[in-house]
Amino acid sequence: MTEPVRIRATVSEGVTQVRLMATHPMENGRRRLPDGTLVAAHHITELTVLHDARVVLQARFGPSVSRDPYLVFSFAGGAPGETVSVSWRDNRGGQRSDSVTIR
Amino acid sequence: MLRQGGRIGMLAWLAAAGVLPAAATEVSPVFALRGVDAVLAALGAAGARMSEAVQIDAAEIVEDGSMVSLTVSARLPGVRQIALLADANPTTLVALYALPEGTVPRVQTRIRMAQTSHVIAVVEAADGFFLARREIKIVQGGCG
Repeated sequence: MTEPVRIRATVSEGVTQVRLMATHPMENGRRRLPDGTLVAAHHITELTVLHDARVVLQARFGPSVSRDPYLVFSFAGGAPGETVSVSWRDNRGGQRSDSVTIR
Repeated sequence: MLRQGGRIGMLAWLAAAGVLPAAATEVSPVFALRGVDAVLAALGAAGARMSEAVQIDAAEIVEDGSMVSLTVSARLPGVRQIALLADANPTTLVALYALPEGTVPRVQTRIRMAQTSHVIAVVEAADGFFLARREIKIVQGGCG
């Protein structure tokens, strides 16, 4: 099961700021449970942000990104009512895509 | 051979149609490397120069190494890529960001750090690779 990416996109003076948080355990494969069992690696490997159909950020993550990856960045352009979407894939085949309207 | 090809094609089609789950995305080998020099070489950035145009903003001391907030920014033209490295982590490369034209060369995120060590930001700009490093003191390591 995956949970929606929380996304906020606001435009000001011709620049759109995107703040996002993807809910994901981002297990780095090194954590041990109290009984000593190693928790298998489970983390996002790719995250892409689109403004309408145009890529505005393409990120690749290793296991050292914190759980529930959080990202803030900006791109030139964007207008209220247009769409920003975020999609990710993880190392176990999980994936998710969510979008928000620019305000 | 033909039969096998057809079967692979069908599987791909089923995956595309959402009938089968998509294959797991492979973790790129560069994320398994250990050591700043090895990562820089793999990124083609072995000749990266220290530059004050690259800035890492973060707290000096962070209590919880599993959540280290930082912002990387570059005052350089034509920034195409930003790489974030942590030099004492079990694997050195933390994240790679590809920035298309029009995206502001500034990224804020949260990373894990195993211990007090350096974060290194490598920026690929129009004139080559530039980097900055910053020590962050970690009270409780965040990689274990």
